[in-house]
Amino acid sequence: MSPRAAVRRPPRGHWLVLLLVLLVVAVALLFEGWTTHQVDAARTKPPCTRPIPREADDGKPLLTFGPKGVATAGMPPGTAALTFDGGPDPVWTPRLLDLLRRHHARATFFVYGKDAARHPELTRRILHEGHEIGSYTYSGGDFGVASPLRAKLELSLTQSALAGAAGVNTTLLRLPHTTAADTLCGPQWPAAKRAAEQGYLVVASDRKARKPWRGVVTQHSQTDLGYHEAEDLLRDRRVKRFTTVSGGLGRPSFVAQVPLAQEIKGEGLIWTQRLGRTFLTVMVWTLTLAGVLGVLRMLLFALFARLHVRRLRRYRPGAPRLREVRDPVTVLVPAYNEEAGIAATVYSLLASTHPHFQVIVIDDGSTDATADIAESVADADPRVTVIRQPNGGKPSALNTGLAHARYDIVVMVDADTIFEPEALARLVQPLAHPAVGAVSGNTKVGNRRSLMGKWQHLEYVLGFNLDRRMFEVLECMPTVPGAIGAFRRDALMGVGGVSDETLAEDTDLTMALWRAGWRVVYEESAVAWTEVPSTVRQLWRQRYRWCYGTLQAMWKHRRAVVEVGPAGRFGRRVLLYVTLFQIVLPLCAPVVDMFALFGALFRDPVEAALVWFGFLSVQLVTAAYALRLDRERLRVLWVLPLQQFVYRQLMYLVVIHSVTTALLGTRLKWHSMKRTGTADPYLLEAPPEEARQSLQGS
Amino acid sequence: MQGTPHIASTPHDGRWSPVPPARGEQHPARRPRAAEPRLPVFIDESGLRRRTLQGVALLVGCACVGYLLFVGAVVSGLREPVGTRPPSTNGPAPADRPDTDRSAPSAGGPRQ
Repeated sequence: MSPRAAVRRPPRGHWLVLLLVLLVVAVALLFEGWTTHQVDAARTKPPCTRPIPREADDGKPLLTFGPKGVATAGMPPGTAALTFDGGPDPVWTPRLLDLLRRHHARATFFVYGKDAARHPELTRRILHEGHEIGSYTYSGGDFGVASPLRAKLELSLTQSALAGAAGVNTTLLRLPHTTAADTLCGPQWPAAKRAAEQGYLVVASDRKARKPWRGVVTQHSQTDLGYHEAEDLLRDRRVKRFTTVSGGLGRPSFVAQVPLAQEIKGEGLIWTQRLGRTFLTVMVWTLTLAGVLGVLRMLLFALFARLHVRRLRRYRPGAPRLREVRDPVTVLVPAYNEEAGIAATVYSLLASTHPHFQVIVIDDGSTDATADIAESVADADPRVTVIRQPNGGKPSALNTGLAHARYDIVVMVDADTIFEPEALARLVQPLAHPAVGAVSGNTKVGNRRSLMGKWQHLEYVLGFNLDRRMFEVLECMPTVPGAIGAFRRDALMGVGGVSDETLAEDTDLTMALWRAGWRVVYEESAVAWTEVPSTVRQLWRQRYRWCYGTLQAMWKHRRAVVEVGPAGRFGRRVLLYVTLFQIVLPLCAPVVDMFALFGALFRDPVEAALVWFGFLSVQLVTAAYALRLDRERLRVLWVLPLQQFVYRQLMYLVVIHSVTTALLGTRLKWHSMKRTGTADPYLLEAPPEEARQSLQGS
Repeated sequence: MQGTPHIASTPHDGRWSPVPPARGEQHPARRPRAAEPRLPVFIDESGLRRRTLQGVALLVGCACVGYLLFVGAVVSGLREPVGTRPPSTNGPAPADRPDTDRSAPSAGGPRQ
């Protein structure tokens, strides 16, 4: 297809991929949790309530469950069948094998399926040196308490693991947590019976007191202790033969080759287990890192905000006292279909205390009465000028306004923003310093009655009082918001006006100013009230545009990282910060949530709750500090815990969506279609009237 | 703190003074707006990136589906037990049992 025609919908396929990846994560987590007994646990041995049947209680260790009851067997005199439980263990199994080889002895290893899969080479070595392998179940789950599903899986997964590791199966089974035959008491007995029905010979051990020369099945752990027990036993001269269980019985081996299909399946199991484990290890590290970074970020916020406040209050001899800026100001108000708000915006500007200013409303080809309303205001006040232009997008409207600006200081205002009377005068004060090229004001949310409004209110307060103060202290302010920002006109001209290469023209412009050598600062006392999206759909579109635009701006100015001087410092700091905290962490967030859910459901819920509340309280404290700095009520903090459930997910999904769109390089509708005016191209419908009124009332 | 914000919020006056604010003016109108319409950032005209990424996504998706299918197969295939009856143990100790040959594992008895 021709590239020109390649205007597409926003991508959608990545949601499917994300879903699949999350599903895989869930399965891997569940499997890993199952093997570590966090899911469907069977760890503890149940108390013995009933002895084993009398017919089986003759002390002989080999139990054959048949239709006619249980038959027992033991080793003939002079024969000792050494058995080792657990493993294969990378430390002790090789030592034991060496020991056995020195004594020309054979033994039986009851191995965990999960460990056999983990160390296939050890499993193969055990077999290669003539020993026998039995099943000690997959994870060591106690059969007396295991659910039927777990019992079945424990056995068959072990067979799969053995098939994958060494191409064999085994019909020997030792139940975890059992020793001599009479320890198969209580619920263990029926469990052993059920297991035996699947074709297993149940191997217990002889009692410790029995003299080895009388013929025994011994039981040792794969530890230092087991090693020494085995060593002592192997020195016993009265024992004629040390052999495997089958060898002692004079039977063919209980270990047999499996067909290729099973071997392949087992191989697959081994790989699944390996992949799952690696993945989980990586994820745990990522999670830890993410958690530490998150907390660190909050603490840094608090620290820098504190530093910023101290700087504002401290008397510093040696700093030149700057003059008060009373220079005339041009205010640019680009407007597209803003008939509901434009009058309020312009009136609020006209009520400013700044001595001398001009307001230019640029109507960007509105299809409603925006221009007419603005003109009626202009007729009443000579300070207001209205310029109409065909629809060309916000950057173009701003450039048009810039061409008509009469004064050297330019303030840009969104047409849905209400200025406080003091705001204009305060906003331009930092421009007294000759190095400052732009000033960011403080935006507050007007329509904060609804939950959405409250969430965004909190977000704005945090963003403007923590992020921005930190950026200010670190000298890396990445954005002068379109809602309230003051610029030096020659600085704007120097960077070629407002660019329309990105969707976040404010971020783009700010970065361009930094790179041109200007400083951008924050003036927290210049307050403007803005209106925020009130539905999830609108919010999604707004954030999509912001996030995508920020990505564009960052990419466009990526060379700032290697520049020297303030531009390079800005680039390194801001690009690192934004990449880490606004792209990488949100991209990891779905998996983080998955882990949190898993932890709460299957691991210790108390632990999960503690971690969660720990994070939350750090957030609460910093948010409370931000609210206090902004002189806002603390009452709104109650929405912060709720924010974790819908808002947070929305925010990170937006990042995923934006990153995908950026990577695909898709030409979206908003790139080629007519550009819209102010705040958001998708907020095409007029904002609800009641929200507007609440805005004006506040 | 609100009294003289213009002083307060420019805390680095000393360090900052060498930066020539006029630098921006050295290349005024470097880019006359609206004259040369630039392509927005990230737009890939050739569609190469799109196709590559779609391929990668397809690969990742297939890997995920494969993994899930495999796990499903492993779990569902686990129903088959290693045998239907325990192997016989009749060796030297107890009396002989008639089913010796049947359950000899080397003959493939306990296998599937």
